[in-house]
Amino acid sequence: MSFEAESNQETKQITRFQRFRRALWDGLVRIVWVLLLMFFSQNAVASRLENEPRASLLYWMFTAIVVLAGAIITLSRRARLE
Amino acid sequence: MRAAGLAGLAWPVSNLLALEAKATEASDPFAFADDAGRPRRPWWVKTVDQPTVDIDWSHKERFDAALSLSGGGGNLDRYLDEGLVAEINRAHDEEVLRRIENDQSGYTLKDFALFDAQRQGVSQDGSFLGRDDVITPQERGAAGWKAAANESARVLRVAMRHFGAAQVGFIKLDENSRRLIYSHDRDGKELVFEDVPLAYETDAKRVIPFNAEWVIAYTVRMSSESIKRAPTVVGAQSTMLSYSRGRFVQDRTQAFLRGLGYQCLGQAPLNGLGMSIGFSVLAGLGEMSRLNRMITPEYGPMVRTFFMLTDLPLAEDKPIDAGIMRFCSQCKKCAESCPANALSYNDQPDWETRGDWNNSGHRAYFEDSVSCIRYWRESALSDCSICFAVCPFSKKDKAWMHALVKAGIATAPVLNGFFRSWDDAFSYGAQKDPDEWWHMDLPEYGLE
Repeated sequence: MSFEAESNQETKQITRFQRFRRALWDGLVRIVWVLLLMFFSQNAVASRLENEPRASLLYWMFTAIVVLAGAIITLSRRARLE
Repeated sequence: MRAAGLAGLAWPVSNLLALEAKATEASDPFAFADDAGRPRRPWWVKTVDQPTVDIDWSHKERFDAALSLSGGGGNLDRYLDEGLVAEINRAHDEEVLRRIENDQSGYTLKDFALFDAQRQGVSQDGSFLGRDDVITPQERGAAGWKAAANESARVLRVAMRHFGAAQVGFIKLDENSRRLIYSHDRDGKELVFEDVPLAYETDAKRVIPFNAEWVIAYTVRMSSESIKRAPTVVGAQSTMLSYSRGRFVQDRTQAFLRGLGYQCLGQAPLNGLGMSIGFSVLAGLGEMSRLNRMITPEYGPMVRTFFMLTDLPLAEDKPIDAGIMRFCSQCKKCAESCPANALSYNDQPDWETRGDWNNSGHRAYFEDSVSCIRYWRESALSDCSICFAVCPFSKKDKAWMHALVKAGIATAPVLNGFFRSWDDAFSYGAQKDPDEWWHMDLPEYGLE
């Protein structure tokens, strides 16, 4: 096998690994994002039921921040990939 | 060969079946943690051999309840000049009238009427023997109830929970814990241990037989929605209701045990017979705290503690460590919120008491009861309870965050300062509008 062919093979392998790692990383981040959303929104709703309006408001703010962060990261990554 | 193959298959199958049985048991909402009927508690509540409060039994003596100021401080004149007490009481009555006439939120006529209604049955003095009109097994011509200590504990727990107790725990009296029984009861009667088969009572003394050596410690919940209105009469009425419900549980438990053929000795005057908080801590219902009261992992300080004695052998419980006392050393929210400045600011609990009203022999955050009770009489015009309301453990259990924080307090004390700051940031413990309480559709007894 020529040097060029060997080099192409290596590049291909690294790319495949990187793609796998990115997919894994993306999946994990999405799971964490969904869990955070569930956690904060549960606390927001439950705090209202506990008659703790200030706590409820703060938890809704955290929920909004997590939603926004997720949206910004998704959009910026999509733009970079394009 | 086939037999060996089948045997090989039997092992994973039996393991799977055992796992399935365990999963079914864990998912059964009615299952106890063990044969003694102990409840399933969160994983971070650890059972320990010694309570998280240091006790020097050699310096602990039986306490004269007449020295205590708990229960409204009817004996404030023991610590203050009689004339001053009379002046405080006169000013109290005038202030009550003024606030009623001004229709002040939390102190309206309907609030005081509610408070007085809740006091019914709280301070009924009488015998510690309980009612004697219950049919005993002997009167039925039957043999007395016999069971193993574990079964007795489970049966009694089930009955008492049904009567209204939130938590029930048992310990056996020994030379040390016997010192938690008062030397004299709150009504002045001497409490004496005698080698007699049955308890009895005279005008001068209450006699506890040595065989009544099992302590039944229990708690009754208070409505946090009401206590969060402290220090008003709307808040205080919930305390009275809990005392009244505690008496209800005692009366029925005494009758139940008598019906099984056993003795059960209760608190004749309110908070009588002995140190209910001490017994409750030893029985693992909660931990001591900066309030110098017990805080439970499940309900925080939103409980009242009670105890009884019986000769029915019961499976003993152990104290717990849920990081509560450790958290208190750093938190100090109750002390900072106390308008009477009555709670300790010390980083660590003391052996030194702050007055004769405290019982010595253990390391605690002792409180200045005189300042506390003066504030009750002069400003709150009722039981205060601010320290209960602001405590970070006084949370309901709906939000997942509370369970996470409690687990953090138990396992990562380095985060305690952070938890305290966030408790303030979320405005937990802020006083709620007393008038709003009259517009709320709450469950029975205001408990959720």
